[in-house]
Amino acid sequence: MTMKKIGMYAMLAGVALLSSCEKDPDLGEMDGDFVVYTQYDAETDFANASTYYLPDSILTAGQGMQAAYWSDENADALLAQVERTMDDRGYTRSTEKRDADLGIQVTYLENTVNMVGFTGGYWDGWWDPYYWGPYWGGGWYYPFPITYQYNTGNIVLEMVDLRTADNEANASRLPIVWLASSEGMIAGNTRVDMMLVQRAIAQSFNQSPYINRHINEGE
Amino acid sequence: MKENNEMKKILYSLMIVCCLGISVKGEARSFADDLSFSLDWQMNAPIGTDFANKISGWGMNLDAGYEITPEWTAGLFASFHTNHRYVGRETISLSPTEALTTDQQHSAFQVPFGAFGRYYLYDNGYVRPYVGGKIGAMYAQNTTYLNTTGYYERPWGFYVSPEVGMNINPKRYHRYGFHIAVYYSYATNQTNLLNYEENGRNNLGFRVGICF
Repeated sequence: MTMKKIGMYAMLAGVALLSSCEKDPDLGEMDGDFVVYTQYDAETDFANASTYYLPDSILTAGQGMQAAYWSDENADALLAQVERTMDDRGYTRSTEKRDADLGIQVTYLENTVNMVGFTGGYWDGWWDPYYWGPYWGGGWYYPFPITYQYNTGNIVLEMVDLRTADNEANASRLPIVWLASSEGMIAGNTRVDMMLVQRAIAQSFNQSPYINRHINEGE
Repeated sequence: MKENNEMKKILYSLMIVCCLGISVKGEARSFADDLSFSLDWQMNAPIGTDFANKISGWGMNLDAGYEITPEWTAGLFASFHTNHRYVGRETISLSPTEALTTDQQHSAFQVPFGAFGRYYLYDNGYVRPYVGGKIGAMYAQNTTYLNTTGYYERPWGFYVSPEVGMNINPKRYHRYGFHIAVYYSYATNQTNLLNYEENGRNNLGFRVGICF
């Protein structure tokens, strides 16, 4: 190996060593509310729709990730919040899908991030086991048990434009014209988790002012 | 590939600077006698940026120098520092049709390294004030943490830092003493994370440590 290469490797090893000196931020300082992401189709005229259909239950993942439907008082509370917000914005809930201009589907997923399956050690491929020598080709393992896990909740609101069903091009494809996906860590306490989900739903609508029949009234 | 070539150029330039510094010395003192070190804890405040700009003391600096003449010293340095900043919940427009509401915890970790030079202005055996400068490369890891995830970038850049400081020896002309310095630094590292864009990083700070 040439002196140039040794110098380069020594320098890179030094940088890697110093990288371990990074001070982690205090994540406990964060407010704990869900991260709320929304996107909409700019071509859709939300103000001209007048009715919407909202199912009576929330889609969720059951055993083996099979579709299941969540309907109890908590699900009712979340659906009532969606209904109340849509009504406040000038829309009328329809009991018949075929009469509605818009459809809203609500999905809630919980995911357990289990650190038992964490293999660790990777750093953009740099800390590959092979880095430590050609004889460490068998991957990683921890000689001690890792029991840490955390739970995340994900509430998704999707709005479909049922008016486009008359359009031949969209006859078999239903366009989702609004997506609101909110995710965050949950506490496992129903009361706290419900509060987080309700705040996320409220924020989803707050940052989507274009879903409003009254929007053109001032013009 | 372009970044690698830039890095190689910077590293080779630093080696040449050090070799030149050592080769111009013609005296017969031992090599070890002419070596000097300073190891410092540092406070660092990023300036002119909204990203991870909270002042912090999470950093250190090491200088390893060679005395070319009684006034001039040149050598190598490496340091690291982390700054954070909590950003309260806000709605960010990601595109004309996309919005994201979140709070953020910023973290900026910087590791500059390279060559330095010092010119000692005065020496009465107890204090040796100097002016100096550092030049080299900087590795950075800039992260914004959200509720369950984080986004990061790891840019490289060119680094330059003027510095004024002083060695303080409690015993006259003794090798061991204290070191203090204030510095400004600029690195060309570029970062673009969510709603924060940074084109170069400026810092002000001071160092307190030992010299030997």
